[in-house]
Amino acid sequence: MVQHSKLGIVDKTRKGTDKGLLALPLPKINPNIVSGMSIFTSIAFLLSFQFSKPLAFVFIVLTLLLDWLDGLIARKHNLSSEEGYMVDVTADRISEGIMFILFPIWFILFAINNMLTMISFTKNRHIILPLRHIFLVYFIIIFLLV
Amino acid sequence: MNILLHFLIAYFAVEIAIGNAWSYVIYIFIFSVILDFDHIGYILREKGKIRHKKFGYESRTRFHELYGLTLISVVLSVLFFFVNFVLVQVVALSFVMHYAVDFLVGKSRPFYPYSNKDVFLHLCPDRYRAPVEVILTIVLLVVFWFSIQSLVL
Repeated sequence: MVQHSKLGIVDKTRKGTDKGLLALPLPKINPNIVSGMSIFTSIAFLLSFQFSKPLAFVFIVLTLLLDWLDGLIARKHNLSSEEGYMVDVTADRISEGIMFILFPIWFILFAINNMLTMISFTKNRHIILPLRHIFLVYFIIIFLLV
Repeated sequence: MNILLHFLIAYFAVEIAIGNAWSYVIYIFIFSVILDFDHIGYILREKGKIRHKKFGYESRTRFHELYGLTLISVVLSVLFFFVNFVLVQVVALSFVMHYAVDFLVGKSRPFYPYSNKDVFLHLCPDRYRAPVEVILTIVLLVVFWFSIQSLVL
C-alpha cells in the first residue's frame, strides 16, 4: 500500500470535515465508479462550454463534487485501497486533460501536474496541484462575473 | 475499444467542443488511433495464439498509460507556442479521449511501468462490453454518415 504524505494543513482540514461528513448516509457503492463519473462530467463540461457557460459551471462543480465524494465513500465504508488511489489520481488527470483542452495555459499546467503525479508516485510523496479547484475560481471570475 | 469507435468519439468531441471537425478529419483519425499501434508488438509476440487473446492492458506499452499521457501533454504544451492553436487542441482532444475511453471501459495499469497493478472502474462489466461497443460503433457511424452527407449537400 502506497502511503502518500500530504501537507499538514490538508490533513488537519480533512480530519475536521470528515467528523461531520462521514455521518452522512452515503451509499456503499464502488468509489471507482464515482471517480469514473467525474470523467463523464468533465466531458459534459467540454461539450457544453461553447453553448452555455452556466451549464459548464454546473459540470465543473459536479466534477469536483464527485471527486470529493469518491474519497469520502471510500473512507466511510473502509474501501480505501491502492487501486482506489490509482483510479482517483488517474481519473483526476484525465478529467483535467479534458477540461483544459480549450485553455492552453491550463493545459500546460495540466502537463506539469502529470509530471508531478509521476514524481509523487515514484517518490511516495503527494505533491499534486488541485488545478480544477483553482480553475473553478478562474472560471467564475472570467466567464461568470466579468 | 476498436479503432473506428475511438475515431468516431474523437470526431464528435471535436465537432461539438471545437467545431468544423471535418476540416481536421485526417488529424483526428491519426491521433485518435495512433496509440493503438503499440498493440503491434503484442500481436507479433503472440501471433500463434492471437485469435484467442484479448487486447487488454497486457497488450499495451507504457505510452498507453499515464506515462504516455504525461509525455504527450508535455509535447503538446510546447507545440501550443509553435503550431496552429486550434490544430493542437484537435490533436490533444483526440489523444485525451482515447485515454479516457480506454480507462473508462476496461482494465488498465495507470502507473505502468512503475507499477504492474491493474485497475478496473466497473462501469461496464466485461460481458456487456462487446455488445455495447458494437451498438455504439454502428450508431455513431450512422450519425457520422449523415453528418458527412449534410456537409456534401
